[in-house]
Amino acid sequence: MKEKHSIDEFFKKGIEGHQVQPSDAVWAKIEAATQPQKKKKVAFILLLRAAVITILVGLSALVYFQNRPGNEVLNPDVIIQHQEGNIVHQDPTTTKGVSTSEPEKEKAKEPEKEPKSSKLKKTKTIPLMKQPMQKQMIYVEHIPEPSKEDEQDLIATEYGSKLNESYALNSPKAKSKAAPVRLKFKLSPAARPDYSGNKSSSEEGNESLRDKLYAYANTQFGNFKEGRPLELPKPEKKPQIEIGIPKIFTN
Amino acid sequence: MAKLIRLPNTDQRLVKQCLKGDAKAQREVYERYAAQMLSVCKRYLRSVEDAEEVLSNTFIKVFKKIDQYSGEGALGAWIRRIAVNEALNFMRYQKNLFVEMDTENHVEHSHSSFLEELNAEHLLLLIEELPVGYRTVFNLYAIEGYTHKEIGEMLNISDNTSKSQLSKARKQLQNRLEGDKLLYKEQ
Repeated sequence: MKEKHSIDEFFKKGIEGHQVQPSDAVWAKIEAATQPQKKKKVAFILLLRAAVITILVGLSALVYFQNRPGNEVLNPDVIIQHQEGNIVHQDPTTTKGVSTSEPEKEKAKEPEKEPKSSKLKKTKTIPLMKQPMQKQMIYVEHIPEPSKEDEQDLIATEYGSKLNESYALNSPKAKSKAAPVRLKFKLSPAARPDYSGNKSSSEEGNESLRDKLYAYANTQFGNFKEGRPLELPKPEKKPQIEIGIPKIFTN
Repeated sequence: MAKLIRLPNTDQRLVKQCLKGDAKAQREVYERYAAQMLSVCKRYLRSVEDAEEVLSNTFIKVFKKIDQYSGEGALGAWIRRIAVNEALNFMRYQKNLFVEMDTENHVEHSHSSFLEELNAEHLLLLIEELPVGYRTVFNLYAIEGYTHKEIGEMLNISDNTSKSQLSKARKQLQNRLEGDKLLYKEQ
């Protein structure tokens, strides 16, 4: 049916394989129309990266600012209570052949407990560099009153120079095994040269502090005898920062 | 390597890669056929800008409908069919198809370069000079090889119109060729 005209054939053969190079704009147009998903993917990945970076920066900022004490002022009372509450001593003279190394172990044990309990209570931890070192150096002196065997008075005082003299301490655990020991604590805060002047000078402040410490020491010792974990002193009046004191300072 | 041996036709491999959305394969298909298809488009549309637009539309369609390519015929022929359809669509949108086709004034190119042989460029120039209706039918029938029935359906004209357009196109081309030969001989 289809006639083969000579002129048709002539033209068909004549223009066979003829090519015209298109401009670059043609491919650009095709690429834009056929591969839009690629660009979207790239944009999505960029967005994802930005989001991840933002989250990381945000988290690190959060952690950093949470670890800062902020505007709250450190209350030295809290530190004292921590210290005195945790260290329970017995008179060195009443020790019956108990080696002196044992109390030191006790000492080392007890501060370990404190950071744990402070963690449980979600107290804020202050960076090491910001902790007032001198104010935390608290030492407890024991004044023996060997009127009864099982009853002693302890006077807690603070001073820096007599640290090395008086610490042949006895573990209360050793005694509690044999017979229930009743200890009477008398905590008297002595002159505190390192502290702010108005606190140490006022008698009333000392009195109230003494009562508090006494009550606290009783409860702590009760805890200690029965093997319960020691408690941190609870702030009464105003919210106070509780500071987990590092082991190196309590030793 | 086994894959390469199993697929002797690289076009088929390219099609497979294109089906996966491989941009490199698409680029290769384009590199392989774009120039050829631009020549086809230009035969229908005269202006290079229009031809390039049709060319880009063609390849966009090719890559979007590559799954419809059966793989039986040559990939080039398939792309060429799409290109022709796209060109016709473009002309339809331009609304210059078969509007007073017989009386349309066509551009007369100067024939100063007849010393060169009747090469492809020259022949294309002669086709380009044809009025749009003549040219389209001649392109479809003589070059692309469609039947009058097919052309009638494609262009929404009757078979007879297609036939008459073709014979007129042939006549004009014949005259041009003879005139060229005459000119060439005189020189």
